[in-house]
Amino acid sequence: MTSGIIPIDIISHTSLTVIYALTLIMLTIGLNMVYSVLKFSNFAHAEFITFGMFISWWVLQILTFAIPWDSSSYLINNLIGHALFAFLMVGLLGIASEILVFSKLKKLSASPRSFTVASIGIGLILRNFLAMIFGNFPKPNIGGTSISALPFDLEIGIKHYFTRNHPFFGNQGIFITSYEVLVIIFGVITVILVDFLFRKTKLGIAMRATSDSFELAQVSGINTRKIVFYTWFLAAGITGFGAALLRANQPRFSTLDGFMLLLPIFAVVILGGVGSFRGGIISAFIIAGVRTVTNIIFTQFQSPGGLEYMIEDFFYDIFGIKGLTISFSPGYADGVGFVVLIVVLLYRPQGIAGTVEAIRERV
Amino acid sequence: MSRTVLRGEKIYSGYGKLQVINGVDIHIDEGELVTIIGPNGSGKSTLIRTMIGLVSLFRGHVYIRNKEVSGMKPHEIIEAGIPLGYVPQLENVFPSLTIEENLKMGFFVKKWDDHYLQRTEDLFKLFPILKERIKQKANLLSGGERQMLALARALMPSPEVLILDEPTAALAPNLAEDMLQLIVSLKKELKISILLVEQRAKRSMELSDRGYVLVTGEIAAEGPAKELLAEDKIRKLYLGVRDQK
Amino acid sequence: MARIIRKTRINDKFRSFIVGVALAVPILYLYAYAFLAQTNKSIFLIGTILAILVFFVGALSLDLEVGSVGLPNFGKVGFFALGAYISTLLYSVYRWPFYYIPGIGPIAQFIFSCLVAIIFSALVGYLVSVPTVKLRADYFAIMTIAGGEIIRLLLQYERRWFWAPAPVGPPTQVISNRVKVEFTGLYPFNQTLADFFGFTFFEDHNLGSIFIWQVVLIVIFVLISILVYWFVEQIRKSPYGRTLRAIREDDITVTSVGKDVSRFRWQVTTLAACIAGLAGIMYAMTFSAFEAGDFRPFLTFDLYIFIIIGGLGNSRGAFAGTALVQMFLRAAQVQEVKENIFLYLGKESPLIGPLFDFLQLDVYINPDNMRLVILGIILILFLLFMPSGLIPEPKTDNEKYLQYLTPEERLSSDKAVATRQSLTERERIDEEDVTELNSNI
Repeated sequence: MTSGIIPIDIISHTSLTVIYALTLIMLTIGLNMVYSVLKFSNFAHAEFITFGMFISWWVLQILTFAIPWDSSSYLINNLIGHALFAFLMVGLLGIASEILVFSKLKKLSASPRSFTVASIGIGLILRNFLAMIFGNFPKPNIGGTSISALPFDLEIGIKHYFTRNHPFFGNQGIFITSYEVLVIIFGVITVILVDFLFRKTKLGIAMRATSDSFELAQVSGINTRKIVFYTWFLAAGITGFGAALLRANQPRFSTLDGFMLLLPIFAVVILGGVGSFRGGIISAFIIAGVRTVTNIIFTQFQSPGGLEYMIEDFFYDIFGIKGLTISFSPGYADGVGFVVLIVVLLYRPQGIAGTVEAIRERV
Repeated sequence: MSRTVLRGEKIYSGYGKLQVINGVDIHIDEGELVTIIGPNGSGKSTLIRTMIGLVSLFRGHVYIRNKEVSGMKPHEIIEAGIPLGYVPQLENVFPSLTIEENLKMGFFVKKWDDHYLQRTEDLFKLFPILKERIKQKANLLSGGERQMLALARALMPSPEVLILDEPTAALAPNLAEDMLQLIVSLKKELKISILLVEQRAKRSMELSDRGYVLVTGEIAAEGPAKELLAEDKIRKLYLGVRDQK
Repeated sequence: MARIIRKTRINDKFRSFIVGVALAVPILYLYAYAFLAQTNKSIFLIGTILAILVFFVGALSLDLEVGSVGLPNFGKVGFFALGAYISTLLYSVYRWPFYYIPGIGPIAQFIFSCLVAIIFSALVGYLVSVPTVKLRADYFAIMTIAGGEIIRLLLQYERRWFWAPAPVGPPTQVISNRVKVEFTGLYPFNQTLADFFGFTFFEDHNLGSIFIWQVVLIVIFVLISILVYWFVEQIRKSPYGRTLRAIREDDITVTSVGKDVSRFRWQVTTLAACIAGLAGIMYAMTFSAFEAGDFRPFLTFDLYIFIIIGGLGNSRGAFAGTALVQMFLRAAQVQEVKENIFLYLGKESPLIGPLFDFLQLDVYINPDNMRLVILGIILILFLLFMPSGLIPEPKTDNEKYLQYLTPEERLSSDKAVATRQSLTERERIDEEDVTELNSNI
């Protein structure tokens, strides 16, 4: 415990929240792009994340094998290199899925539900394909926790300040690794770049125009087919980039990791509003914040003397029955995000900053 | 005789297995305002959507300025530098884009350089309301302003022929009259030819030079607007004019 | 035009027959192979039949929503979980209030727990549907999937109420349904057919022995399935079902003729939740031990695969899809099949060893994953080439109703249909059709 005024590791929790939020942002940009341009929920997005994690891990293995002379590991262990490779590969995967499945479905003028079910099929294939190629068990994250990608050691500097006996913060432990610093840096850079892309470049404006109306975009001279390909490449690519950073941050990972993130990322997209990049950023911070706060509060409730025990004592005093209580498991942290999502959608169906109405038209 | 800017020869087109247009010949000469009228479901929109490549052409030819564009996709027509402007009926602006970006979309295939700025300035003279709200998103505009933005977007590449699909459909009666007057003035000021599909058949026919009556995918009548207006059968059936003898 | 349409219709039937055969024959072959490799063949067969029936009822519940009224519910698994958990907890853990009454206690308790499970599922279904049915289809999908996950999280983390108390130590997450154990221990049920009736067919043919309880369980499950099937079919045939189909096709038109679309939607969602709760009870009885982790969205996705392959909007299709896919999945899990399919590609394999060594890959082509890859491919092929599934939804016979109209009314209705068609056909721009038409003109 800390001895300052603040009773919890607030700095550490804040940094974790920021990192989680930035990871979510990087993972949801692509989903949002596909959602707004192609108008269907792409459940295979979860497997794009898994694919990004595995492909970035795999390139690390290859590099270790192919460049044995790189003793200082700057080439092998270069997270940026892995992430860019994942960007490329997952981007190509996105284009492949468009060519092989979604463009054909579009020709059949299938309903959005068919698209979604097809994305479930793609997810099924990808997930099990990855399990066959890379093994089904959680992979130990070899090379993932090394910090040699950075030429300097950030951890020491930050720790040194906060672990002293600060009058306000007390003895705060801060567990921010240099990989997490990288996530923050890249997260911010990604956000700025994507925002620039959408607001200022011809491609970005054309993408937004296409998401508004395919037909009008065509008569304005936009090759919508090309735009759809760009969208898939960028959407899947950014996802792969984020997934590579996420992978580096975890002690181990498995083929189910992406699927576990499916609901949080959809919660972020819908809470922020489909098609709204800035809303997505806000909602990522909300979801991450709610998750952390729930985690902290529920952990406190479960600790001795917490609310869980108080309820039990209360019923014991009145009815004389022991064990009447409800659990406040920190495991609910993910669920509370969905509750927030449902409540927000009830009052603001288009999300925080969205323009798409969630209500059926005129019904 | 003046030159023909847009010409369709024996157009057959439709959606999937459904043939909607059955052999239509249509032409618009330079500086003309031509109106297509006809009952609901007669294929007016399909006809003009065929000519700009949004609907697949089964047979026949479409020429814009003697260049054959039959079978070309709309973006290919625009990329080929063919001077064409089109305003669809429903989704005629990009609602999540700002007005500036909407105008940029009209200039998509060209560079957004000085020429673009010059062009926007010209259009702001025609539609001063847009200049005031240039940074606003298009979904905040009112119905009339939306139509103006749609027109401005279509006029950005300085087209020689402008195709309008029911520009007055979503407007109140007084605004609709304004819109029709605006279209006539556009024709005069910019010296462009305009192809108009209209529900307000009588009023638009009065303002235009020539007219076509389209019924079940075929041309039922054509000719100078005044002649069409004078014909009794057309007056009764398609112009909604009751005899008040 | 008419000629072309008729021709394609016959082609469609023929094609779905061919595809059905092409799909069924390998699956049946694989299943027969797996079946013959078993030591206790009857257990394997009964396990498959029970699983098919459980998922068939689940698929019917999903098809009622997706196929009939067009609500893509991705949270079906939540109602499965509710049915399974509530019936099991009430019967096997809390045993309140009837269990200890002598004589009829357990049976009364069983019926009570099933009823509570179904009613509770319906209640939750109603609560979920009221805010969500107004949403657009894709939002509805996400909201239901979130609802299902919330249910799962509650079941997973609420240790005081939803975990099973262990005799020693903390409660465990794994719940075991004791219905089967307790009832099958009773006298006539624990006898084999051979002992009780002298029916030795299975023993004679070396298929293992079948207990009476297994037969009784299958009979009960078949009866439940037939009942649900009949019920769903009745809904589909009734005017109510026609309204539902109309809502699926075009909810705006249905609203414009004065029907409350939202009401129909929440009614169907609640009804489907009931049926899903029933399927959950059957699930609990069949699989005996389960935990919250079994009720991830995968289960819903599986149900989608069943109904897409079988054919949306018709119950026979749901059965065909469920039976084929379940047989395929079960057969591929059998040890003997696994050993034959297993393939290792890696450093030690001949010829290509160096390549895989360079790529740092050890690829294990194992049936556990391969079967799901194949299933995914089948699903996508169906979506692309046979969107209506193995057994397409029967077309409504409009002639039956049109004969009540006068000629004038009929003409005007034809016109209305044609106008409406020209609006909807607008969406269907299909290059192949166009070329076909061109060659036929």
